Amino acid sequence: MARTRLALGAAALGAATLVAACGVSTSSGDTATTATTGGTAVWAENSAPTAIFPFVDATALVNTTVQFQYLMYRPLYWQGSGSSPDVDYTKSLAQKPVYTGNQVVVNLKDYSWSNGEKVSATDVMFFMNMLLVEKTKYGQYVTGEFPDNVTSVRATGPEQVTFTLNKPYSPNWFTSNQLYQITPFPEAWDKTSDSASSGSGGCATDKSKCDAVYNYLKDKNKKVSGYATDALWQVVDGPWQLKSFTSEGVADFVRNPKYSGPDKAKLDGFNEVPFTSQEAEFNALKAGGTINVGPIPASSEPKRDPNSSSLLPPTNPAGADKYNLITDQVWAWTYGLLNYGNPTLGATYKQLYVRQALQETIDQVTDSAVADRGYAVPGTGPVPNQPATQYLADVQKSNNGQGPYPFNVSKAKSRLTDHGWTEQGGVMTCTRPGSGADQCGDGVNAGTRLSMSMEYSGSTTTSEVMQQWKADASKAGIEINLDPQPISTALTDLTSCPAVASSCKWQLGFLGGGTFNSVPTGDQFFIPGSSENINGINDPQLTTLVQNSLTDSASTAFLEYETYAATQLPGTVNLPGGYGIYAVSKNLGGVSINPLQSLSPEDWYFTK
Amino acid sequence: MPIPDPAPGEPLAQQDEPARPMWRLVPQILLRNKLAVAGLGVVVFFVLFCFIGPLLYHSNQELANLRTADLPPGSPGFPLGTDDVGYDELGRLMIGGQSALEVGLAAAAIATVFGSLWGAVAGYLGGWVDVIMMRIVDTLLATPGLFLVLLLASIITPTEGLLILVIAFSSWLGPARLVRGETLSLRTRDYVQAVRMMGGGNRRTILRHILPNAIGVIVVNTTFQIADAVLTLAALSFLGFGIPPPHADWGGMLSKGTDFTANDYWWMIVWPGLCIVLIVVAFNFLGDALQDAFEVRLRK
Amino acid sequence: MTGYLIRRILQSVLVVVLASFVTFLLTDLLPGGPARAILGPRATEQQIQEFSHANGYDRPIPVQYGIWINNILHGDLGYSVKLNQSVGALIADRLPKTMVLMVISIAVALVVAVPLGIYQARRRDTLGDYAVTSLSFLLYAMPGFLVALLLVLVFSTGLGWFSPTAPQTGDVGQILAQGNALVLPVATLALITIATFSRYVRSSVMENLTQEYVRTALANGAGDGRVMVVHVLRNAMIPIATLLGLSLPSLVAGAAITESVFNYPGMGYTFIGEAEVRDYPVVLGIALVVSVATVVGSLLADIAYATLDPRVKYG
Repeated sequence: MARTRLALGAAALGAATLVAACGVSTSSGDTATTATTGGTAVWAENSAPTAIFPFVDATALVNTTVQFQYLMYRPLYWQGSGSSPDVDYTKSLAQKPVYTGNQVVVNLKDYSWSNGEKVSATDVMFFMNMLLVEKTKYGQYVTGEFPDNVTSVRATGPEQVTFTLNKPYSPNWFTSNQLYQITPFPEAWDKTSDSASSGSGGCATDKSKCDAVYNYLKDKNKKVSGYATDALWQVVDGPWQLKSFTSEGVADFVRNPKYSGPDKAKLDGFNEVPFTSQEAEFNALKAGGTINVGPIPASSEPKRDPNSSSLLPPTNPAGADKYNLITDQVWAWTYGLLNYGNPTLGATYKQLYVRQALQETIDQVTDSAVADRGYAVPGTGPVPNQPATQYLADVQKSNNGQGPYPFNVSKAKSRLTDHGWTEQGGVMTCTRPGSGADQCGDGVNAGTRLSMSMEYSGSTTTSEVMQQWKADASKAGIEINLDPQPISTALTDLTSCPAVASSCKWQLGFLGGGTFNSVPTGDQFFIPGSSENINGINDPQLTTLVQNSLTDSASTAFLEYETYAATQLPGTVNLPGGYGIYAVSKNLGGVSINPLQSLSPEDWYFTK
Repeated sequence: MPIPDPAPGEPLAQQDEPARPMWRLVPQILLRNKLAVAGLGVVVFFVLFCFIGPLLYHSNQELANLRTADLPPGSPGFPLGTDDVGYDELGRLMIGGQSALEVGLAAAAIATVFGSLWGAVAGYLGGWVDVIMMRIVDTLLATPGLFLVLLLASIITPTEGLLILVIAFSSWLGPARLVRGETLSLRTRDYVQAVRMMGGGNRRTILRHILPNAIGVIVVNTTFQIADAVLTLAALSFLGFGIPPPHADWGGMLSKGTDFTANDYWWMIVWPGLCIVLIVVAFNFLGDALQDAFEVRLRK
Repeated sequence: MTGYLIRRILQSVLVVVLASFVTFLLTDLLPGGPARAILGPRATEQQIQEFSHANGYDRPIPVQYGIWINNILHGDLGYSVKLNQSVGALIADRLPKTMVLMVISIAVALVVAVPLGIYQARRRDTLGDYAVTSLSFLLYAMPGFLVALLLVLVFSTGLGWFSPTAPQTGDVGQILAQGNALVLPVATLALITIATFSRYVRSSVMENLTQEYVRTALANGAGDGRVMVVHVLRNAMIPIATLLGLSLPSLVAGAAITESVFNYPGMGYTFIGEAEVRDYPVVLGIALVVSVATVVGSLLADIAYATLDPRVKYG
């Protein structure tokens, strides 16, 4: 699933779109029900999909749109399998790639498009050529990564493509974090006008022709009224075909009878319905008869005891007579940002003890229990704590799950006083500048005050966490002034430093965090110049460790990076990672949402 | 709230001599109207509750404490319960009302003063000045005020002063039109003509003769403006454009309370909701009674 | 009269142009422009620059405005990158839905408010008047989202009589066919509007009841009812006509909060949603439509005034 920020209005801590029950059966209780075929299930969307052409730019790169597209146009590799973030090879178009040194050989399975043509190597080349030419317009593109790390790609068989990489990479990482971006395009799209024949565009074989084809398809993509009617978009290789689509985002799908995959749909139809607000969606859920699968808004969840063995709510707010509940865990890292580029406090934030002190003033246990209403666990590093996977290093599990820096206000305070800070008027001030062990640190001027603003965007949960942090931090002499903003303002304010010098006045920031691909590497967060590195992190040792984790297939490289990052808190503080609760109609089985948020209604079925 | 635009010639006052001072009659009329008395009582109660209350009843309203969050009324130490970050509801209602009253009164006052002057000048001078001034009013009416609010809220963190200005800015148009209408009819009065013939300047005439006689309309409008300002503040908080925490205001409290409806935290909705409704109703009763009072004066 | 009309229409056009320019200016106030908000956090600085340049956001405001006006005169309201739709198509889709909701709500409000206002004026200072006035003020004093919440709690979640979701279709015919789904959103809007309208009817009727001409008519033997209907009502309707004219903008602007609560993506909801993400083309487009509706409404109100009130003469 695409890596996108969680910072979309309603989503933040305790995000509402989340993943499957980890290890818990999704249909509770009655195993004697029989699965039937037929029927139409209705899914409540977060927002309306805005693009059908699966070559989305940054604007359209949101979960809803990607989920929408994947129903019809399968990606080469399907991220997320059950409750694990790993690649699901059963749902993938290709077999597990074979890695030999710099070479990767991908063998496609026997899939066909709905117009009869085979999903072939040409289709993969079609996508690759377009990507190579139009990569700057591709939302998932990251400089230096795919396809920059591919020196050559060619079809080496009717159903085989061979990639030559610029160096050997960890197969695990490359398959799930890079190759997943490929969505083969049908030959039927390779043209530059409606009346032209399939393949006449020539992009599949000649890169120089791709621009024209891209512009044609982009133009088609703008005609929302044609999504369900245009023959172009009817050529699908996924289990679903679009029957109707409105400008508000109401999408009706029907089963694709020509689907080649093993996971053929049992339902006849699948509808996506957008809602104007969480309140509206929840009311519809309670009234019944409209939605089969929809989220429970965070504030409507009953409080859950964090020590309870069940991840589910103690009572069913949507109505136990109508719905079962499942969990939705997101493969994400929820964190706050410290701006290294801030003229007043940048140098201060660069001091490890300051970051440790800041982390120790965050009471994540209380936050999880109250702000997240019990549906969260403390965040302890740049690897998601939930669901627990092989990626989680011991350091992140330490202190009973609180990580290397559990909540401890007095310890935070003493860290500061030990380094030459004195409380003046309730705010810690640097009274012993210098680079010594008991001094403020390199670049921290005398008189620097630990008074900072936190610009954040998020829901009620976020607001509660931030207010609690403010209260606890003040007890350690750290003054945090809260500055909640709408997401568009927060994005604009926080993401332009240091390119735009006047944008560096933000000090603490929160945009929701970030989501990962299957392998939660830190290349997007910690390498200087990477897309999420908006706060100026530049730690050579960390950079090396991150890069090692991409190339070294041994898990030790990854764990080494993680241990370092968890203890160093590079430019970040961890916040509780929440999961959501979805209501599923009692007579609908097979419903689960994996940590990568892949939507697979082809696995659902109505029961008798 | 839309205000009808009285066209020229509408006889709002039938008399041809200067009116007796309003303020002599007002208390009499108010006392006769029981609803108005109730309204006045409510307003006085809230002023005391919000400004004197916190001096007598101390509660922590600065630092959140999730450990005491979501407690129902009657919990030890929290007679009316706590909100979602642990603040005492009773104490929060008190300081929450301060913004509502301050913003309401200040915004209404600014809007009314500015709008009345604008309308009086436009109505009195007439001609091209009138046309231009009223077209400016029309232009501003036609500009989405909400957009202005959204924009300002995203550039600057909303403060009470900013909200006062924003609400006043979108509310002065009503009084402007009303007072213009009043002025148009008033300027034909004999006594106004007399003053002018005796050499009274425009400014003097407007300030000392036109406005005092239009005061009825102005005062009535002000009370409704206050009520509207409180409601606008609540709506803004609902849309997310209130003043950030730890600031408190009834609208924000109510809107946050509605988030938790499914969890039966009724006290988060009922107390602030009751306060908003009571204060708005109170000001409306007052305005209504004052309107009646001026009707009575007209009848005589 | 014709001269007056022509002058007013010309002035109205000027007002619309000015209003749209003011709105345009307001968009320039936002630091950073719309690029980052539209393109998202992963976009590079270079992509931001390209986007800003391609959409003309780096040009001076008067130039941008000129281009926008020019496009409008050619029938092009712009294109929303965020929603991937043309602004014109978006408005054409949302406007009918909004109008249906608002027209029905205002009509219901009128039908209830007028008799109510008359009752209040005639039974003035009685218990009945107090009760109705109090109730009407109570409704007025409740924030819209609270009214919506209570209605849904009682009538949907509680009693299950009505759907908590407004009609989901864009087709006007189908919207009207789903009466059950329209009840609660209409009720929410109507209840608050009734409070406003009835107050105006009440004070207007009261004022007219005391007029000379009423006493004269009664003295001349005219029946109480006839006087009421023929004379009083006609004059009392003047401010109502004005009120309706001034409500015209709300017909197209919708009610954002109600739309949000009842899942009815209309003009108001769209406006706020897109303003939050700095989708300027949509915001400017909707603002323009609302501006036009405002001046048209204002003009209609003045014309109604002149028609209904024989004392008013426009020259």
